[in-house]
Amino acid sequence: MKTDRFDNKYASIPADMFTPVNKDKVLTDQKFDTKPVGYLTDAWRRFKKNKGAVVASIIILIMVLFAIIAPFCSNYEMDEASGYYKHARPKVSFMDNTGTGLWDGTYVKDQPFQDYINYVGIAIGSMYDGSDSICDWNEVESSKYNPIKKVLKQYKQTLTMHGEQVVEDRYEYRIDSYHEVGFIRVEGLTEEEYNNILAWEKETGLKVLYPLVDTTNANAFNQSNLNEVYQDNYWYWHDSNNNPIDKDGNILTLEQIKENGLVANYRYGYVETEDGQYVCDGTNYYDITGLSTEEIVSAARLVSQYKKDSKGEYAFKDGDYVLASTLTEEEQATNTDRYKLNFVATSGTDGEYVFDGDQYKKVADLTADQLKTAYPRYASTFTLTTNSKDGKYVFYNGKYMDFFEYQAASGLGMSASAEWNKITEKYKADYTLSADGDYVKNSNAYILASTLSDAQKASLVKYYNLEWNTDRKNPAPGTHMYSNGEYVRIVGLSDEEIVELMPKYNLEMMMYRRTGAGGKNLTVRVLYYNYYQYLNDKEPIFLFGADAQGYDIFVRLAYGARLSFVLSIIVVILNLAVGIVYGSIQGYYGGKVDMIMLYITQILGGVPTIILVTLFKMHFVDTGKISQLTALILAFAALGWTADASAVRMQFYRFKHQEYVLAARTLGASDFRLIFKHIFPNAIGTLITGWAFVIPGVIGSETFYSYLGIINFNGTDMTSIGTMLANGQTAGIDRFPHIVLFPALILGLLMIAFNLFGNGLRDAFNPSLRGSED
Amino acid sequence: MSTLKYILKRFGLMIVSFLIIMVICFILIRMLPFKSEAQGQAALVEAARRDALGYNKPIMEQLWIYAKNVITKWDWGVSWKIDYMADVTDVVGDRLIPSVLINLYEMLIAIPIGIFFGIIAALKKNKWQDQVISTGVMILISVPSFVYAFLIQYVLGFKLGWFPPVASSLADAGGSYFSWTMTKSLALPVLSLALGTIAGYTRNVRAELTEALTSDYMLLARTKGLTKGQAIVRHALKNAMVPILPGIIGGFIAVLLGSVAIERVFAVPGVGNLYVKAISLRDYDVFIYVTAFYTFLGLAAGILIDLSYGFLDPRVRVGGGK
Repeated sequence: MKTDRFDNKYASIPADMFTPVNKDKVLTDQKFDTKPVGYLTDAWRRFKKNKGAVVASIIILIMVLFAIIAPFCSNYEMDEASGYYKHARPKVSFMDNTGTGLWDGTYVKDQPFQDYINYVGIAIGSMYDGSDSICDWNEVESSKYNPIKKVLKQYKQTLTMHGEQVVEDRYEYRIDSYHEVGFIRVEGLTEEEYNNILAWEKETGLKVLYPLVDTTNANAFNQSNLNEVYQDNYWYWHDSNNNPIDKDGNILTLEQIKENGLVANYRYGYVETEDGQYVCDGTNYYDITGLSTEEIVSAARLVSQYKKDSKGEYAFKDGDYVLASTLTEEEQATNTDRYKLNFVATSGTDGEYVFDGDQYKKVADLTADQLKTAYPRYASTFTLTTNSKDGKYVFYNGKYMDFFEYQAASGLGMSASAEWNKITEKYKADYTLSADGDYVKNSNAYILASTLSDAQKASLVKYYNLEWNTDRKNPAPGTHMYSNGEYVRIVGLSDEEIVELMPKYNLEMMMYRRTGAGGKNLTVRVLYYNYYQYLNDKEPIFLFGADAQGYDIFVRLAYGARLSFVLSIIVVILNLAVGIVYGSIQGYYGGKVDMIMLYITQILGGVPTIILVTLFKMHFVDTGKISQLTALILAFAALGWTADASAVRMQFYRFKHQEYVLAARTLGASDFRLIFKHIFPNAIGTLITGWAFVIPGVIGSETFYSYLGIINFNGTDMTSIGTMLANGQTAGIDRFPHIVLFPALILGLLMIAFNLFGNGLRDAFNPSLRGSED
Repeated sequence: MSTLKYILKRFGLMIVSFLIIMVICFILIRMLPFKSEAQGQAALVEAARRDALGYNKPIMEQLWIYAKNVITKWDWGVSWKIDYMADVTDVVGDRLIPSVLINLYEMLIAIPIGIFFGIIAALKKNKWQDQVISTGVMILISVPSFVYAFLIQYVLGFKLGWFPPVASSLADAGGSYFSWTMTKSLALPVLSLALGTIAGYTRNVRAELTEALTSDYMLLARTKGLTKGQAIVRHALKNAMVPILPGIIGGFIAVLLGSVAIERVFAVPGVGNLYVKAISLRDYDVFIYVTAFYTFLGLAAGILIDLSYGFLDPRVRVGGGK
């Protein structure tokens, strides 16, 4: 059937039906069109196909570039610590001022009203321009210098304080960690530095210097509960709970502040009155009469040549201070400008003197006419006696008389009192002062203040509500000021009172205070954000934030990564060098040699690295023999090479008995040649895979030891990611998470990248191992 | 017979290694200068005591005294800095419980979870479940545990406030390591430790089970009529566990080792923290004792793992020669 048919058909095919294929042709293998693929090229092709590994290599490349380049690009140096920007949050410039909380240098704070106002106050204070102009609240809120970037929540909270229920206004806001510093006090500036700042302000248009806060004004400034660092942010009137207040002590509400701003409490440095000009050295006002015009113009910058203490006034003579009372009148007039005044009151008890152009004469000895010509002050029809306690006198008909004498002499009778008042109109002040003491007005008579009780004083005259800090009985000229037609003493009055009494007088805020020997050092109040720019020529922006010491985390991370790379590469090289030689000898010679060498590696394998690192540190680093880095390298290398050695040994066992080795040996190859030319190359794949895993291992261990503080790289010239982690933990991960999180992220990324890269390399070099993860 | 010989050989090598390491360590430590912080009368007493204990004799003689004390009296010296004049065995003993506790809890949590994820990943190989698990494993294996411990501490401890961010002291926990306060405060260190271990077990189980699932005996099991589930549980899983078990056994020895970095992150008053403290305070006797402790446990765990391979897997013959 089927078979039969087949048989029938093909059973006998004639030979001539066959034609040999390729008859008379020379057959050769076709030459390869492509080049042969080498071991490494093959591996590279496989590696390229592994997406994860390629991405990982790119990440590693970026990290390496970061470690190399970042220190050159960064605005900051490794050892550059900004004390006021400790813990500054990460910020990028394009997110600045957005209030989004994303990389804009802010963090969230929940605080009571007082603190909220204190921060907003920085913005209001930064707008000071020399006048008392009221600032626009919108402008304040959007100000760059406003640390409050966004108010998230405003609520009321009931607290129990001292057993009482108190409702507290609270705010939750995003606060900029760069601007929250606000104003600070800078001490010890030289005059030159001060001028440099002024020049810089002009050049850039940024304001650095702000008036000093009047910390002596007990009504406006509460020193007790404030950290001195932040005192300069309390430039406004506030009470002991730090509430903003007005001058009557009423707490300002937010609405009032929005409308009228805060009440400034700046120190007035320069005061001009009709009887002279005064400079303030921060505590006392000094007369500057006798200073040149230029000196007066820059009055606030001078320390007067005039001096006064409990012994009396001093004149500046021949480069030294001499007690004025020891000089003759002539000497007084010639030696010091100050004594060129035509009127003088000595600090003694003998009263006032006038200078008639020739000599000083005692007022009491002169007639009224003489007085008038000698000094305009005495041109008044009214005077106070210099040594009586019996009230006031008018100068009438060439004679001083009291009210009753005046009543009789004028013949006015009962209506004399109106006329009396008219004559003495400018003396409506409640208070007046004469050389023999203060007087206060009681209905229509002046009473010597010293005869009154304190309570009476207080009820009669408001000035007696003040605390006077000098002996009022012996007022000295030059410490008075003119108010309401009467001279009052400046010493003892607060700036506020001076301003209140003399609104028309030219006042200037005190921009600095002199300290130190000869007043050579200046203390100023600066807006730190701008002062930082003046000092460093750059805006403070820390890409990854600043750590607890104010170091830039970004640049230190780059140095940390650099240390990790350098360390791991050196360790890998050392491991390879020792491991290859050791493993080759072991594998090639085998037998007894191998056994002994194997025991050595096994013992080494039992040594915990932590112990070796510690011993190296204690023995060599603490005694100053080697650096910490060297110790770490040696410790890692001392234990690390065994893995390479055993890998090489294994490859030798696999290949040393193969035929090609035998063939080479037969041909007379030396041991050295056999080892390194014929057998060792087989181990290269394993070794490459190995070092790709050793690098993350070394980085991980280094981080581990420096985190534990066994090796401490916390310096200005070197740091490690582990040290940064430890520092971050000390600073407090709950409050300043960025100090830990950035190093942790970089380290994590690095470790993941290296492991992926290592997996890729292993798959590429040993395709048979693909998929098995270890 | 050869197995017994191998075991003896391993033990011998272990003891030799241990002795060599300890002798080197002892000599290096005793060579370091000792700085006393005691003053006045106390300094004199201390100096006299040190003299009496032979600290001023030549190092080899010191070694002899030390070895003699350890062997005859189990006297490992006293702490000079941490717990002044307390026996180091007591000093370490006090801190052993928290270390063991966190590691024990960690093992108990990590083993079942790790095996569970490993099985899922192997069964769903190359599906999304496997990819998610493998990615997680890769991250957790690569990143050192103390690095993500920070993250755990920050998120769970501080931000969400679910657990105490640091371990309680014994006094706060009511004087017991087993009180609820203490257990709760140990949650975060346990979790931080467990994540790495879970990842390790997941990876190993996945690899072993994948291999088992593609074996010929699985095909046989299916052809003889077992369902897929039966085949996996009775055959694949059983075989896949063989290489996993030695690791688990070794792990239980390692519970004594504690975890230096994690203990430091969470301020656990354990051996790891003690060790770092001994280094920073230069409390040399404590350092030597903890070193001995660590070295011994490390070597013992290694041997136990190797030997258990032989007992669990008849295919592995230990010490079988060439």
